[in-house]
Amino acid sequence: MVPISRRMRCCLVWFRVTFRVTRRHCTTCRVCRRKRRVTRHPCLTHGWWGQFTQLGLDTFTHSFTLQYPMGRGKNFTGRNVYAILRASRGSGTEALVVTAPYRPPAALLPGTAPSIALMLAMAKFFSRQVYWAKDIIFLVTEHEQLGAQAWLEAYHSPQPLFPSQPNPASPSLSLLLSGDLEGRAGAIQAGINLEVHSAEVTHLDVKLEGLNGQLPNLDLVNLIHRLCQRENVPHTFKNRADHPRPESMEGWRHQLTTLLSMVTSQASGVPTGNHGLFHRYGVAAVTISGSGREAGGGVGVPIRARSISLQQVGRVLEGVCRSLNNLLEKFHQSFFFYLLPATNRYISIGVYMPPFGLIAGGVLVKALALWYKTSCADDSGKGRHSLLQWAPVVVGTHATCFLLMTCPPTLTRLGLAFDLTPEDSVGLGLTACCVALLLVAVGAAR
Amino acid sequence: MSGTSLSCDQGVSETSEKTHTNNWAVLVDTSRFWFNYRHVANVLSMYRSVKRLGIPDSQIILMVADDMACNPRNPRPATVFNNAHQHINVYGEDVEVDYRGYEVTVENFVRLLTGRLAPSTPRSKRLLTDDGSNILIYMTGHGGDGFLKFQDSEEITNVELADAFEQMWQKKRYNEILFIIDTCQAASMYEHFYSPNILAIASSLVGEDSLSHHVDPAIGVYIIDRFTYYALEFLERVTPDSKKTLAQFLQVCPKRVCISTVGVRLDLYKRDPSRVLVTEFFGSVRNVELTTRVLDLPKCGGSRQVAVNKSVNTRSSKATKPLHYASQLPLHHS
Repeated sequence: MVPISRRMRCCLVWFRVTFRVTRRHCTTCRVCRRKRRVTRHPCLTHGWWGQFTQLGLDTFTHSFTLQYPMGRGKNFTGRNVYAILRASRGSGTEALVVTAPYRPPAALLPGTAPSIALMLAMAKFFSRQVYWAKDIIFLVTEHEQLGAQAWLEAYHSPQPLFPSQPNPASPSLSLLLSGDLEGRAGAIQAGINLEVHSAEVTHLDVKLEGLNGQLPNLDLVNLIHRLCQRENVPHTFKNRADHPRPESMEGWRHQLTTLLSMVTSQASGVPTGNHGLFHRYGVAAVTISGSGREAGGGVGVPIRARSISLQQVGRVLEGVCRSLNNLLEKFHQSFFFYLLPATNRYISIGVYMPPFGLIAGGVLVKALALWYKTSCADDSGKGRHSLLQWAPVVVGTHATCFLLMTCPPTLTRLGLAFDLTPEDSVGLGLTACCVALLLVAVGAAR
Repeated sequence: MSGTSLSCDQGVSETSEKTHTNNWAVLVDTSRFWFNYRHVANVLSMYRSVKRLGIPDSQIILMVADDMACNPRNPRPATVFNNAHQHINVYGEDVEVDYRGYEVTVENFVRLLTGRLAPSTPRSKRLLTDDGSNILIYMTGHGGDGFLKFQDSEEITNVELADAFEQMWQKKRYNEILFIIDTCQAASMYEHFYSPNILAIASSLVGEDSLSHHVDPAIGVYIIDRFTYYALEFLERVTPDSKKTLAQFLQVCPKRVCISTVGVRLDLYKRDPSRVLVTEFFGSVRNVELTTRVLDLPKCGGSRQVAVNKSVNTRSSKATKPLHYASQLPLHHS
């Protein structure tokens, strides 16, 4: 164990130094010279590209375009950088993805420079090992989830035979043009998204929820928690550590709050990290995030004198990658639907679905009772109502819903006349529609 | 076989009730995939012990279902270790695998035992035993109640195995068999044996799992099973002239270390295990008598007795060093 940590430390120091060097504005490449105002961010992609290539990995860039439908309809472009560490003795049919989102200094969310430094250090360390049976893809994405989604779409879509042909999978009306990838590895088995915001973190938080509430396989989550335990790294779920006495009343309440927080984030359907985009392609992925002391520790995380260094986070990552390397199949043994009240407890769908079924059963029983009551009252000879009298209501409701669904672009164009931002115009427009419909409904009821 | 009994000479091995003339070993590992590293380590460790005690490669049939040494996940390529402190590379440089990879199938195994092989099969893949052969059959892998899994795709049942042994008996292909099996619920595999002269040892009874011994954190998988680990500890102390008996070998893994109960089938074996040497199955120990005297061999047609030539004066005044066998392979690599 000790020889590995010494090498890791050297790699991290090397990258901390070189990373600071490449943050200077790039003045040599054509792209940066063309852009007069480089205040958005320095030409880091070229710096990373260079460093990955120096390690001997196959490095590529991937450009994507977002055709923003609202407002003036601007086109935004972005660039991802990814490097593939080919397993020298493996067959190259499977791959693992380690990804980190790039955030410019002016971004609203906390910066991820330490994640990218960690990724570069891991790449340097991994490239020297002989025990890889799968290729490892190191991916740096831009524009948060857009970059990750564009890369995944491009990775999993069939490539055109000739470079000049348009991509057959992307329709012409799509919003996100994912472009083509120059280089690929095999089928992706698992993905880890890194969002380490500081070089010294207080604890590691594991984020699971994906797009539309989809979750990764529970085995991957358990793997990370168990490795953190082995490396003595405090680990949390939803920024809440395990209660020391889970059988007590306080412990139960603590776990209930964690559980409800997971339910709300799943219910919103918004992924809690870039990992959420991987689930739709059948790839198990989680986000490992950590913040420094200034962000405040998690709930229940013991305050330690020494924070967790990047080296310890790197050891956990190394353990995760080696465990994933030993796998022969994709994750399929454990649960895909579960709720976690703590990092070491789970509630599977077999346990939480019956109560929901009973609630729905109550509604069904009430409906049957109503039907029985009305059918009995029908015997007095009122005559059968035809279903057709309800047709206008049904058609009207569906038409209103369809209009509401397709109105945001129109609303934003309307909002331009009043000099409103697209978000404000959509919000105000939908609120106005809501109020109007309520008034119509109240008026029709009278 | 006329046994000349010159038992008053120094360094002479006792002639016991041995009835065999040659030794064979059939060592089978039936499972593939990286996480079954320990089964390959099991069978290769047995191979090393058996080879060290004298059985030549031409009389060992080694069947290994997967290649762990060259697996991309192996952090020490071209090696297979059976101990976390990595004392011995059991793969070594002189391992001769006879059936490798996908050649390890139930059909090939049964054909090997019964001798019904295609005429083009090379000698290294044939079990050329006769009625004076003692055969050690060691099997390891994943098993269940009444079956042993081959290659994650097929199984051999205990009935098939018993019938194969009966065919061997009918065709006089063995003198005695020592059958060792290290899998889960291993005792079910010897339930249906009905041929004589078979001693069966199983690492666990029906309903019990055989457990692995320890994991090597540098390699990342379990590297040896408990029964085989303790059996090897015992065998490492056995030399070709050792007097250890099979009864001692049967006690090698008590329940407190093995966690599963070792099962033994003795009813088909008519000799007493406490009078049978371990080297009668694990080694290729010949009935060799060492002497410093000069012997007169009889002429053809003359007397059939071998007489000691008393005329030649040997150095009997000075006590000569006791004679012993040279060790064929070192016990441990330094």
